[in-house]
Amino acid sequence: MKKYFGTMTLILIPIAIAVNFIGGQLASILKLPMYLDMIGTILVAAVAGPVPAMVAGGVTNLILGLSSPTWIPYAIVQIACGAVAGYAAQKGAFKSFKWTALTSIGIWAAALLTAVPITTILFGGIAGGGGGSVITAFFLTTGQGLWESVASSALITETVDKFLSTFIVFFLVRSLPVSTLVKFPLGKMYVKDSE
Amino acid sequence: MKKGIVSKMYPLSKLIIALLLGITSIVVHQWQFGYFVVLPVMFMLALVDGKFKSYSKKVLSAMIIFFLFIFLVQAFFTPSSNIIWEWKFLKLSVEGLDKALNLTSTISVFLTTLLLVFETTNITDLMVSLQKTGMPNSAAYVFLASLQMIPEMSKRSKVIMQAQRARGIETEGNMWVRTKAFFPTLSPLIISSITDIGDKAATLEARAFSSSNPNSFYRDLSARRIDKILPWLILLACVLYMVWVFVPGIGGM
Amino acid sequence: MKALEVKNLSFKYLIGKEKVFENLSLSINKGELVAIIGRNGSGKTTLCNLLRGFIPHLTQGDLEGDILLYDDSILKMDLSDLSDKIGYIFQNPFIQISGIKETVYEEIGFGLENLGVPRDEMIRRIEEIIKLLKIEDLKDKHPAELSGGQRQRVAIASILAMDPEILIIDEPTSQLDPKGTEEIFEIIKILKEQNKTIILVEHKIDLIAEYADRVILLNDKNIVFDGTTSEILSKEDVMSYGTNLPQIAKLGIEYNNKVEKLSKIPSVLEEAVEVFKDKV
Ligand SMILES: Nc1ncnc2c1ncn2[C@@H]1O[C@H](COP(=O)(O)OP(=O)(O)O)[C@@H](O)[C@H]1O
Ligand SMILES: [Mg+2]
Repeated sequence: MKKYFGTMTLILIPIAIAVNFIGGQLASILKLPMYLDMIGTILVAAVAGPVPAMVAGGVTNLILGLSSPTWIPYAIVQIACGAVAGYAAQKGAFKSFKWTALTSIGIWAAALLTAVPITTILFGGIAGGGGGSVITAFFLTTGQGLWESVASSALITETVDKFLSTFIVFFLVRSLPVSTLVKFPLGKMYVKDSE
Repeated sequence: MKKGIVSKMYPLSKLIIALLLGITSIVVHQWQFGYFVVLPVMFMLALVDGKFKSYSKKVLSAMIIFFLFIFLVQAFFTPSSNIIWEWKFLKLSVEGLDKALNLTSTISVFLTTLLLVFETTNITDLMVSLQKTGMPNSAAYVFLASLQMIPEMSKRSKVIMQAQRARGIETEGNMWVRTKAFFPTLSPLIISSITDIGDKAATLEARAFSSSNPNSFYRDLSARRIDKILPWLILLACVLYMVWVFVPGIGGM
Repeated sequence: MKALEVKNLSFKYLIGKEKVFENLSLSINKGELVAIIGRNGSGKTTLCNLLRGFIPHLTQGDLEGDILLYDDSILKMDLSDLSDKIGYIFQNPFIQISGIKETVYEEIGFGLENLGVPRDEMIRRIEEIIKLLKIEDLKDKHPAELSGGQRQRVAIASILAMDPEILIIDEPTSQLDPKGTEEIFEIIKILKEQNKTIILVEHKIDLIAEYADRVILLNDKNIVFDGTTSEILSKEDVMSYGTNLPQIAKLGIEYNNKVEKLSKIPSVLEEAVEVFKDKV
């Protein structure tokens, strides 16, 4: 079998991966204390469901890994967040403001539950990509243990980040032309809503 | 341009060897393996292949600060009674140093091998070699299309940001101002890219993208004898090394 | 022989309020160059998409009637299996690349790889097309670094490499400069000489007058005029449907209405010479 997704979804995935990259890049150009590197993944989740979102998330980090292999294990974080967001989207979460907010909490929890063990176990507490480790070091010097330090550091950066990313997707879905939206697996969901 | 011996190798064989070495370093848990075996060998291979400069730049920039942090955190904050040196809240311990060495050694094995693979391999070739072993077309598409899409969208995002600035949208100032600049820069890019997907899908279908025929490949890539044998030899060597480490009476522990 | 046949077709887009076509029938013969004209929104692109199967396979809607390719229903065929039978060139040159190839040469081979054409045969066909379209200078360039006109030629090359017998070309020059336009029509001329069946949507009416065998005018959910190029492009009525006529035809119509009756309204230069030669 050559095809696992529809062609529309398949073409969306590389665009989403690029969006993940550009989001992260823009965040650093604008000197925002956030990653914003998951907008593409969440967007795929919203219009195409969990599996394509997990692929988009996972491949994002594999490609990051081509130049810095330490990013590769964090693919799990993207995959977990994509799964949560995609599952929620299938249940219609992105149709309402309230459920989008709850989804962002789910994504945030998924990110924490995966990123913290990876950083602590694989990299001895130093985030593979560098970000966040200065904050970790700060918490360490205040006398906290390694796990708590990594977790507190992640808490700060992740919370605002995931909340903002999820809501950007909420608004993006509403800005897409209907004729395009209906070609995606979950797209029709948002069209009926606006009628 | 003449290809070096590493560049000439079949992409899949290189990748397999890199992963074998990585797994071995996790299993044996001896810091000497990374620092005294893999690291020097990889640098030597890069040198022989004519890629020493760019390779070492990549490896060092990935390792130095990262490893420094790991050493600081592990060496000074690992709870232990075996303190060598102490200053205020910093306590340097033997266990900590040992842990830091082992951890960084394993990371360095993955880093140095994978970076050498990526440095010496054209990604399209890697994809073709994976497709020939049964990876679906669509997986190769996702990878390769992303690699072209990222620089293209990056270029466009910078153009949009310039235009936004010209229209008076602040991209500097306090954090709230900067956060507000994020959305209008990113969203037109995303929306136009997604709107084009319909026509892109038709373009791909017009080129038989979902055809049920098995693919053929323009890139004439095939594994030479050595490409087929070498991964097995390395596997054998790794197994022997593990035996030497783990079986009492033969080797160490 | 009928290459394509549309039977009593009605179509409405999934999200459309109104039908785009109502009970439209049409047949296109093998080897014909048929131009489709009509004002914006009259359904030219929709018809092209239907003839290639993109509707309903990629874009859904309510469809009645049938579309046949040599007596087989396109509606029931697999989209990709049509690619070596019906080629399609899009309006926008910038979306028409695979997005995964590093050189124009490999880009042209993309369709052949998907079809599973053996490597030797693939190379033979790529070389042949590059020569035919005279794009030797582009073959080592990166597809994403070409100009609009170059991209359009590479897009045509990539489709032609699969050697389809029918080609649907939707406003290939609307985003190109005069030089680019000329180059595309050079290619269309070559294709016509190869006796391909061509369905062409184009706004530049003088070019249609020069190249097309037959013209179809779409308006209000159906075909209003369908006939030989010189027959249709000499009708004054055509202009009331939001399309232009060739300058020569306009001159002929004016002359016919204001000066004296002509034996025939000319639409290309040779006809005009013929009609006017005993007048002056
Ligand atoms: N994907 C689509 N979804 C809904 N309506 C569409 C779509 N594409 C075109 N239309 C509508 O169908 C009609 C015919 O459009 P089109 O075939 O593009 O005309 P033309 O190519 O002659 O300009 C127009 O009213 C247009 O708005
Ligand atoms: Mg059109």
